[in-house]
Amino acid sequence: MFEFVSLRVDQYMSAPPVSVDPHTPLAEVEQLIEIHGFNGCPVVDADGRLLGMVTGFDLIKVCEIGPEALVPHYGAIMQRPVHGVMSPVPQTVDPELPLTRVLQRMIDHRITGLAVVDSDRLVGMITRRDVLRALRESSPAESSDPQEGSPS
Amino acid sequence: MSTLLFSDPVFRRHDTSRGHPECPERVDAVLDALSKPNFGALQRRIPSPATVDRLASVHERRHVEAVLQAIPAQGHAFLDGDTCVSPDSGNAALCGAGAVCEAVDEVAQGRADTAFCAVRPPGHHATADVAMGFCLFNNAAVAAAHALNAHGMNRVAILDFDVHHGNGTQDIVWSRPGILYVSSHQSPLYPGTGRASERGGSDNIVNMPLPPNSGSTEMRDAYGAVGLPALEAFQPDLIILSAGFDAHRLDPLAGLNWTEDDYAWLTKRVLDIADRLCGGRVVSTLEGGYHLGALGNSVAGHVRALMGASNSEDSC
Repeated sequence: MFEFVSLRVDQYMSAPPVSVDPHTPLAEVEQLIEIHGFNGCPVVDADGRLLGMVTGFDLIKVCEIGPEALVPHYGAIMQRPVHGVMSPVPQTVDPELPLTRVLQRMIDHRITGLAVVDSDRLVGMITRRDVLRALRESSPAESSDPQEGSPS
Repeated sequence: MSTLLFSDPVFRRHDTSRGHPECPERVDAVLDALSKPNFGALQRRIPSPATVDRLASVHERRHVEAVLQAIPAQGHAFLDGDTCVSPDSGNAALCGAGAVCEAVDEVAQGRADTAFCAVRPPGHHATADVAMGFCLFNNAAVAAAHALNAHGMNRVAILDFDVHHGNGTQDIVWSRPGILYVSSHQSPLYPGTGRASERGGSDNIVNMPLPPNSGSTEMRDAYGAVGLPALEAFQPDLIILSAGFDAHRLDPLAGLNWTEDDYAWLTKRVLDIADRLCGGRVVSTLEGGYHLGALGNSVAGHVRALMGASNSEDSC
């Protein structure tokens, strides 16, 4: 169990990350999310700089029934480019950040995944599943901690 | 201005089991950082182990004996879920307490101005009768009692900037009006003590709990408004620093966001007070700090300040 505290983001992130450019149609984004089981997908420019994230929530939200139509025109909506739908990224993490810090941020902000950025470039994604895998792999299968705590 | 550096190979031999964050490499990180040319003026010393009698000035004698008897001849033994010992742990713990006491001797007798003790295991969670939280004996408290008993001092202040509250130091100091304990620490966090309302038997404890995710601004505000004025008002004859570096923004065991500059800033403020009140006498002992790079860099800033560095690269 002690090993977990020495693990860093770059040891468990998905890299290179699946990403899309800002002109990618939403239909393609939806397909990527479906295929990979992602909660969302990062949007990067030609130099790999992170511009935003598009999530399943963003795709649902753009289909919201509004004053301009009686029903969502799904086919037409899905041809729109992702840059008009993506959300800004409120926080990213460094590749060297301890996973303990990522775990706490996921709890504090109820987030499922974080973009990993090095010198403005997107280098990976780290998700709840990655953190759980790190916890599992760093703990002996039969062990249970004798007492809770952590110091000094 | 002369500054001593106490270290010993035995601190590296305190083996805490594979993957443990309180690892021998912490000493390497500290000593590597202090091997740079700008630390050439440090006077390096190897300490002698503290005696059981000296430890018994703050610990129950049976606790000291029980800890030493729990040291295994081989392999590892856990004193609690976190606190692991191995064959050299007893010697390391005795030498750690011995180092801080010798540093007090040197500083009290004017043979040095300040000292940094690069010791393992840390000490501030060790209460009078319980070893816990990676700590066996309370190095800072033993040294404070030694300063009062052996050097005729009347008031010794312990300032603890480890990210975890020093419950052990608080426990020992609670009924000792000659010792002031000032602590900044994240709350909530292990070990769960350190509320501002915990003030000691004679208002000699000052706790400054800091919220998770807070950083430089909050720590400087807390020390500026509460910690440093309390230290100054106590008029100490000596200041002992429980120097943990795990409030750093990269540390894996906590959630504060201090930087290297914050440690240098705080150390300089303490030195300013020490210069005014007690002839600049400051003894610092290593507690926590588990990100090796952050630990090395933070210790470097801390020790530069202990050495009285005033060049522009150290200004903050």
